[in-house]
Amino acid sequence: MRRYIVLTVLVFITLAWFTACKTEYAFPPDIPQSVQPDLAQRFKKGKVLYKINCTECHGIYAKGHLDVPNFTEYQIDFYSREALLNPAAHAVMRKISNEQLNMIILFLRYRRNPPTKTLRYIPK
Amino acid sequence: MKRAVFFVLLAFVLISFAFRFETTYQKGYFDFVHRLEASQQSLYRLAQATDFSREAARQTLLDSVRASRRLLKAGDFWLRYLDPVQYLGINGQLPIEWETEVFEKFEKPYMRLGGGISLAQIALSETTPPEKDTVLRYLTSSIAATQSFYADSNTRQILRPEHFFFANRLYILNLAAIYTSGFECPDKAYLVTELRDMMHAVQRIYDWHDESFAGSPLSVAYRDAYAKTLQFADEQSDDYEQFDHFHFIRDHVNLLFRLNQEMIRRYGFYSTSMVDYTLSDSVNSLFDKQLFNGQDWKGIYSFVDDPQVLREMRNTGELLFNDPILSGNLLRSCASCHRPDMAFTDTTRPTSLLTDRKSPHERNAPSLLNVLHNHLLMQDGKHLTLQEQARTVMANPIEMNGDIKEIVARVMSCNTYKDAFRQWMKYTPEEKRPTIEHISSVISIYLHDYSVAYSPFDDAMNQGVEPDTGVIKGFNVFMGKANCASCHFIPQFNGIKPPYVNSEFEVLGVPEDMRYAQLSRDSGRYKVHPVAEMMNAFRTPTVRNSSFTAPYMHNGIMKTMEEVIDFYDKGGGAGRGLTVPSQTLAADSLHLTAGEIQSLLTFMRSLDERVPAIRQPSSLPASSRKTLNQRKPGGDY
Repeated sequence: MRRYIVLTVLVFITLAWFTACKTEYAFPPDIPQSVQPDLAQRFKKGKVLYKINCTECHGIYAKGHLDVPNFTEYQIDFYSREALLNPAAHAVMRKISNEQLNMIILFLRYRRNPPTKTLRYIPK
Repeated sequence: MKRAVFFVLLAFVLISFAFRFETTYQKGYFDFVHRLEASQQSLYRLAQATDFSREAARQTLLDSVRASRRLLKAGDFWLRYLDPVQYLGINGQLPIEWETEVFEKFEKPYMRLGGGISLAQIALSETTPPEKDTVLRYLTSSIAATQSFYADSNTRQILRPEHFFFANRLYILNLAAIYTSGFECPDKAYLVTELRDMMHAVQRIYDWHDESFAGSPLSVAYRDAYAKTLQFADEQSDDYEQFDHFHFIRDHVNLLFRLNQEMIRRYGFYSTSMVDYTLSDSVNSLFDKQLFNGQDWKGIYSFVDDPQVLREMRNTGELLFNDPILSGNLLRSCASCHRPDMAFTDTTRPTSLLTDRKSPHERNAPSLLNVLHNHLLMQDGKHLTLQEQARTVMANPIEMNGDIKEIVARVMSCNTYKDAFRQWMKYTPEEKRPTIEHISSVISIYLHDYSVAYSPFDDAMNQGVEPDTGVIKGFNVFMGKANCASCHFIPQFNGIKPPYVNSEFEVLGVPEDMRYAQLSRDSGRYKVHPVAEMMNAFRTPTVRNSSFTAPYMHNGIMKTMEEVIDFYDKGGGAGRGLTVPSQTLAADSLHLTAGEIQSLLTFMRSLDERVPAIRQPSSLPASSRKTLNQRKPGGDY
């Protein structure tokens, strides 16, 4: 009996360890190895900032709201431009600094498994 | 039967054409673009047929170029706003321009090929006849760029009223800063007549707008104010040197600006154009310090709004600014070169000393007053943010020579700092522990107080106070004859022109010393961005507070403003016989009289702001490391 408990715990720990180690980002191969650690740092900060400031409206990963982008690859390209352009129309954009916004976009762009299905979003 | 069907179809097609839905506003726009295109094409054919060796033939071509330019001005209102990049192809100022846009700050500068009518006009006006190919190239660029104004991205906006109020805002800003300062006018003899033509043309655009968009009409007050502005311009002399810029801007343009801002807010329009990225919709005067946003002054603490917390951060920033703990040898603080008793510069020496405290630095320490109203920092525009700038100076071996990790550790060894930064960690959840970003951000919060002060000249503009006649005369010389305002733009009088998204660099030919034996050896912007046009180019600083910030120029060689004015009056380095490749300042003399120079000085003194007292703390926080407790406020130097 004891042996089983130990085994289960071990399996559990191993699994947890694997999950923790799995990187959340996938940088394209043309980004040099030397800058990747720094980029990973910024990615993590971007993720935190995203969770705090953006999820309320934009959702986490695929869960978005209607008419609010959930950031497929196409939308990120569109958004990084469009949202920057009219900060007055966006509650968070009014405050956030350029550096912080860049980290968020870095997170959205290079996270693993970004949503592929675009929720309905009609640019004005 | 077949014939009947044919006629019915034909009638249908004709009717659908006749009733094609098109507003007067749209029609006005398309008519304008068509006419501009046609005029440029006939200009091109004329240029092809012109014999460039004959002066009379060149003169005929020049007249046609001028006519084409006048036509362009009728729709400048749209073109400049809808597509500023393509606009450079039609009305560029320089054959090659390098731009760093604020919304794409992290990109490299873009090369923009200038072309178009104004460059053709400049080429044709020169004493040596231009190459035919050059002129043809400018005109080709113009024709090609005009095509983009048929593109969807632009014509889509014409269908809706939103863009109108933002285009109008840009137009009003340009009335103050660009159209009247001669920035884009190749022949100033035509400046006032062109201005009037344009203003009348814009009135027609206003009519079309009101006819087409009944939901968002221009207010009666606005139309009234515009009629008065027109009347003012019509009554001015044709001579641009006589133009009364002061009253034009204070009594007319600034009023138009306020009324237009009110309409933007009333109709609840917001912009989706990159042109409006930094502009505020809430200010009511051109001379409001919040007009455009140059720097994120809160840095990493961008989400902090509580004034009490910001106050505490500011006070910590003040301590750190004066604390030599940020330097490698514990002897030097920010305040060593940006001295609190000297308006954040050092008026005692042309350039500050290096870490060896003997040899001079290459460049003058610029004042930090109004530092937030810049997009790029350092005289070569190396840095995008104030926080990055502060961090780099701390780590620079010849400046503060610190080690970033060590600096953070040292700062955190002082309980006062440690408690403060720990307490503020809740505002930066993305960071696990205090970093250099937190330190540089409180310093930039400290500096904010010194970028929002106003001067007597601002009061005159904002509150209608009538200043000294010398100030008015001086401002008019500044805007007109002396040509200062074509680089030092309203309202910050630095190198940021409407729509305030880009810092400009100029090549003046500043010499190594006042004997004018050789050009300054500092290559300036070239160090950051090595292209031929940027050799010896420096960022245009503000004219504000010049009384407090001597000496002048990037290397601090000019001790007085008189010397500076004299330098420009004589045509910069090239005017003194130095070889200055691509000098952007005209090399001929301005022929300023002694009286004009005096009034210029009076005007510039009226730009001295009521800067809040800059204090140096009497003591610094104690550290748990004994070796660090020898520090003096402000450092030794």
